[in-house]
Amino acid sequence: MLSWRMADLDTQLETLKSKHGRLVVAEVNGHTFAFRPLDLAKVSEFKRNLSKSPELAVELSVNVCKFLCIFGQENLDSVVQSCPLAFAGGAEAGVIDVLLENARGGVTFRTI
Amino acid sequence: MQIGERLAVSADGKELLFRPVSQAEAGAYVRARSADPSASFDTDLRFVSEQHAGEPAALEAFLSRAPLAATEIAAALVRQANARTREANAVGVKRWRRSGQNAGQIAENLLAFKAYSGGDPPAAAVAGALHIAEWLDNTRGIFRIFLAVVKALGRK
Repeated sequence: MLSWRMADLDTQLETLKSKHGRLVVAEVNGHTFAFRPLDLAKVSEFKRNLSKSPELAVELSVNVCKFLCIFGQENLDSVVQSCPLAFAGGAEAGVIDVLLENARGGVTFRTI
Repeated sequence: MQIGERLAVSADGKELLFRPVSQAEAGAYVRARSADPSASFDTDLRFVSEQHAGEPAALEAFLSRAPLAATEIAAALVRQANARTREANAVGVKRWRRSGQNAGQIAENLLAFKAYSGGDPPAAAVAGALHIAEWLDNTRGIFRIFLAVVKALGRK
């Protein structure tokens, strides 16, 4: 039963990945979540809001994660309540940090 | 500005080219970013779009996959402009040192400095500025000696 559920989970994630490109998959408190990548508009909005209200960094980060969540939404609210920093980050990286790191694209530079 | 010195940015097998940025443009971007920190990401996007040497659609597609690359690209363009300015200043200093005994070259440098009206300074304008700075320094030095002599005479 467990292996069937895991195979089903992998299939679902693969389907989502083919639709959205690179996904961030996180397991928090035994629940699996998948997040689609940050887009230009969302990054711009997040940066602007964070700059205006840095004291709301955790709430803003969690909101972004909720917006981008495409798998596991049914458990997201309860897990966010119990483990907000798993999403917002803090001393350790959270989901938002991985999303932002992916949004950098790993660019390299050279002068020609 | 040297022709051909473009910034190439690569990610996920795609490459984009960006025009070299002058010191004045880099300064304007940095000032705009500092003036409104809440819109800093939008400032980065605008700056990067202005310097992109290619199809806008290609940049849009690139940034839709990696939005935060805009900030890194903007920073790289400013670093490149600063490096070019440092290099131009170093060339200017060398030129100034070589022209120290050559009246003709001193005159040429001063004329270049007089004609300078902003943007990236050519090596001759930098050399001209250094000549003027040196004269002012010597003039101050001569004035201090003069003051010291006057004070010494006053004490007698």
